[in-house]
Amino acid sequence: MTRVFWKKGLKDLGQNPGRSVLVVLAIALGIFGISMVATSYSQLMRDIVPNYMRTNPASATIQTQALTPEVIEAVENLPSVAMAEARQRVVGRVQTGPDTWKMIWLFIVEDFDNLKISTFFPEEGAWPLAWMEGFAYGYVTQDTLSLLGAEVETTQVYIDYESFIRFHDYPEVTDEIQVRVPGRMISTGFTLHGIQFGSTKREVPLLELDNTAANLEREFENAGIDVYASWKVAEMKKSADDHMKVASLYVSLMTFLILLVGGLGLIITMGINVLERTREIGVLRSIGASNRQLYRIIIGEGLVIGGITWALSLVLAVPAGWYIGNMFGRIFFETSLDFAYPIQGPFFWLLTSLIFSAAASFFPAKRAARISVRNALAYE
Amino acid sequence: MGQTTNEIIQLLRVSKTFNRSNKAFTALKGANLAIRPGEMVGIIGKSGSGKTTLLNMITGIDSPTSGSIRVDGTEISGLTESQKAVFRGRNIGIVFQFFQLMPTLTVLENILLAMEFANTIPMNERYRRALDLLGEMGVSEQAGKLPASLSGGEQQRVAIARAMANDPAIIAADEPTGNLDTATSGRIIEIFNRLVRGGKTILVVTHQPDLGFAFTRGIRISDGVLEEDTVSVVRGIEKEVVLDD
Repeated sequence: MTRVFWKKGLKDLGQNPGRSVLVVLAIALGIFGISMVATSYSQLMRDIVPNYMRTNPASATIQTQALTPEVIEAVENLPSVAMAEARQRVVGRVQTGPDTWKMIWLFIVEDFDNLKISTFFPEEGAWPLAWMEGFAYGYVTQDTLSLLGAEVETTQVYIDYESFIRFHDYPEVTDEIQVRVPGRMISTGFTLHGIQFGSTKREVPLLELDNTAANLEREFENAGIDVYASWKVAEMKKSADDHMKVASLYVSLMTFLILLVGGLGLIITMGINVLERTREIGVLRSIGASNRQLYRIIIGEGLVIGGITWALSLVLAVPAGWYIGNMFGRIFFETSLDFAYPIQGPFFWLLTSLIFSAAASFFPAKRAARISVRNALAYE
Repeated sequence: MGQTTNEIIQLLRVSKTFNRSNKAFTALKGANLAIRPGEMVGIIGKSGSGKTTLLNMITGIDSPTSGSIRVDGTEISGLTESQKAVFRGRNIGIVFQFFQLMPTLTVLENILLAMEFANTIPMNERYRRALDLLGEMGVSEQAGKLPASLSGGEQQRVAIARAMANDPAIIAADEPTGNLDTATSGRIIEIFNRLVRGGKTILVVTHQPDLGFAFTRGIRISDGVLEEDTVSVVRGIEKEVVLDD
């Protein structure tokens, strides 16, 4: 089948433009939704995974009573620990505007510039930085808060005439120790509808991390040091993953439902097309169209619809994915994310769209092939 | 009906019975027919006489209830619908009363589509051949137009060009002039005559008795029975047809 065959498929769609447009839109909406989720996901993962890895994150964080240099040294000497670093966490509320108060978490460290674990890469820019709305980094000595190089009083922080932060009450200070196990940090990838996002490198098995954290807790308890709380990065990451998966599953389910409706629409449309063109099918049979060629013509029309829906959904999904990725970025990280689109995505969606359209056109094509030529020619 | 060894179409005791509302209706009753290559056969009869059924049997558009149909050496009653379609595409060109051109394709594409189905003409020759056929039918200037913009006569000539697309040995036409005025009908019959002179076998179903003179052979059908098999002296009358034009 060559040029005329495809041209016929394309031109026949124009016979009933209203119906074709509705079907195209219905399927495009479904494909667009899924594609958009993938785009946003890809964007998030691309930024989260490498940036997070760059901080040399702690394998586990254990909150205890006051840490002494001896305890820290003892932890560092544990066989399952590669490095350990103590810090204090200050949690309080700060005034960020005349009537605005926000949570602030400050990590109090001795030497900000030479952190080894969970290091920071603060953004440069105008004060207050966007990400300050969620948490900030710095250290506190007596009544002075050192925050990104600016030394200010803890009771009231004036940065300029228009913006200021102020602790609402005396902040809660907790000691905590951050530990890293030997080997590289985990860097799990994400899979969404068969597309792999991020790296799948997992050099430190999750189980090993779990065991290390559990062992540490036991050893602290044996040493008579109370453990208030502990976080394992694997747990936190799993929790984040689970949230993302639930969210993406929900969105995907919704879009698959839309896609399903679009697919049913395509089946019905192609069915009506076949019915309306019964006589034409009879003529095609009369001039030599075999079963296979008839299937190709009708499925070909479906594929043309699939191709158009793919192009349309791609055009919609790219900007929408960019917008939603940015929205997630602003919500979770207080910053915009650079645009990313999974390179294999368009091919995957094209394939999905074509397979879907072909499958939806198959039954009408089968029905067309079963029509007797005599009856088809006699059809009014 | 006489039978010789070089028949291109041969029907032996062909019957066709339709079941309509639990009532059997026999449209063709034990028809025997033999047609030799190069004949121009008119199948003449009143409406409902069974002439279209007979043509449908020969072209494989319908299957007989009993009997044997051999076309160009192939027993077509034993073929599947799909095989019959392929066979038709390569061996029988069909012309309909209402032209039945694909409305969304141009005149040229209509002919190319028939070639694509049969796939017997090499790809690089199709375009040239389609234009030549349109030229032979006198409608080459309409090649890029949609069928709807053509007159009835022009559309029927395009339909004949499409029937000729794969150079079949047989052309089967069902009431090809039934929707045309006398002058245009004359042109169509003249084209058929020209094709017969070129060696084609042509079957024309018609309910117009006045067309009988145009055929080398006329078969009258009544109530599903082939009643008459006459030979017309077409050469002597051909001029009259042309004069009508």
